[in-house]
Amino acid sequence: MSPFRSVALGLAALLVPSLAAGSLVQALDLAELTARAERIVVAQVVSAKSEWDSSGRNIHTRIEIAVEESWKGPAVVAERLVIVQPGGSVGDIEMRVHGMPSFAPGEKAVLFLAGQRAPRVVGMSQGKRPVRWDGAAKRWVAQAAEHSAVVRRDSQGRLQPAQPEPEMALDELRHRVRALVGP
Amino acid sequence: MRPRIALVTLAFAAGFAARSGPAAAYVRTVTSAGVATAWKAPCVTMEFSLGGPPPELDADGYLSAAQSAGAAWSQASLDGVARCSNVIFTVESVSNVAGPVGMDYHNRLIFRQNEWCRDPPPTNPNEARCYDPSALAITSVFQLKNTGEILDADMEVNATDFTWGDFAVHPEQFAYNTHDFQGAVTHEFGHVIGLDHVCYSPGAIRADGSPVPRPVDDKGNPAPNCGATNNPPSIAQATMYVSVSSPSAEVELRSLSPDDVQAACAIYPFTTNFVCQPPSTVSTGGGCSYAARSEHASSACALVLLAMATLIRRRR
Repeated sequence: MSPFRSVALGLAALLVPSLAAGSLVQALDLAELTARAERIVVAQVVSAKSEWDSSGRNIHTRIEIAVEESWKGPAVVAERLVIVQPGGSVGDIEMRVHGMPSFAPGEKAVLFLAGQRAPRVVGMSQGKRPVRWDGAAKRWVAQAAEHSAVVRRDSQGRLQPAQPEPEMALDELRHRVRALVGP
Repeated sequence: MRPRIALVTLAFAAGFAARSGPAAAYVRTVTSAGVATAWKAPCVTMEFSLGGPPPELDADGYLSAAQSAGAAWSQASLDGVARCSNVIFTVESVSNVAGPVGMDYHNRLIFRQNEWCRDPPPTNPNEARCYDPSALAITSVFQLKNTGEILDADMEVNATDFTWGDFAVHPEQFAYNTHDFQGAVTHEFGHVIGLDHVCYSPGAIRADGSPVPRPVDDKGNPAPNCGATNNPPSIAQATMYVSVSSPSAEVELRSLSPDDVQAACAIYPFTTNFVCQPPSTVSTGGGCSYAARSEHASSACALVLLAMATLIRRRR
């Protein structure tokens, strides 16, 4: 291995994954996720059903969510939204789209969504932050995204570290997102 | 119509041999039933739509890059000389600009240049049509849940929001939103043959609500966290690692690490009686098939493939 590669890989290991789960995905930090999202909600997954799409060639999954909080955009509490994303399983056939977030009924998550008629998760898996109850601390916690990315390039192509998005209290994430959204 | 057929074969091993060294570990993709995925016959023909490629390279340049990416896997070698895997990637140019993707037994490699959206578009307006613009490329794999057999794989490349260059020849192309095409395709082809990343990103949830378990490598060791500072070089150097954050790192994705080689050779071990059929004679688009043929027949087929192989050039 060349010294150059050693340095580059070491830096990469310290700073970023920018490929996510098979599909190549640009790293997005919280500010970018917030800016790209038309709606940011805390929601519970009501159902997740896969089916062949209208082309008959691809499988997609319809995820119905019930909004519990709205941090950005037009969603209102108790509203039902349906996220449609490629991939899923019908019978014995699976269509796996690497990088897509997974959903399970009953699951609660902060979701960064774009698209009005058929919302999708922004940044693929990066735009889903599962939420869990921390019984010891007696608070809700927003877990890390499935594929946290902590670095990206700037406009000159240089490595530009971004803040990692670790697990944090839901209250803190709400505060940060609302600060980014502004009044 | 297939104006140009180019096959990646054994004869072009020299320029693409994997880095030599002790083999380590790899991680396989598994279905939701927990079954490791693989092609029944590892002859993977990718139909590359090159009707109007992005401007950074010409059509031949992109085709050559994709063929070289396939060759990296086809020529996997533990000792740097002899092939150790039956994987044969064939990348053939097709003239259409875009093209449909989906479960049709045709494996496609497609630039999406005008819009980063599905083709064909859904007829139901409530179905998602376009992909997330942060996705540089999306690989979709159809597989049987209970056996793990891979049936079809399509790779769509986002040339709407990103540009794709050759960092080895043109390192000056490195810039925001530009990536090394060959390095990216080499990585994605690893997924096409059933490999997962060699590290783990916590947080994924299964359909039953339980967390996706940390995968284990072929040695039974749990995969380390992606981005961990203490990941050993054998992991951080793998093509199937998840970091590309510099030109050199992206270019290095083109070359398989010992882990990557070990994966290809363990999942699809080399056999002398294995031969692929030329893709034009196979209606399924799979391009190849297992066939217990004589070594004479294998040699004859290899010569045919050799004669057909074109436009391969070393890019490093």
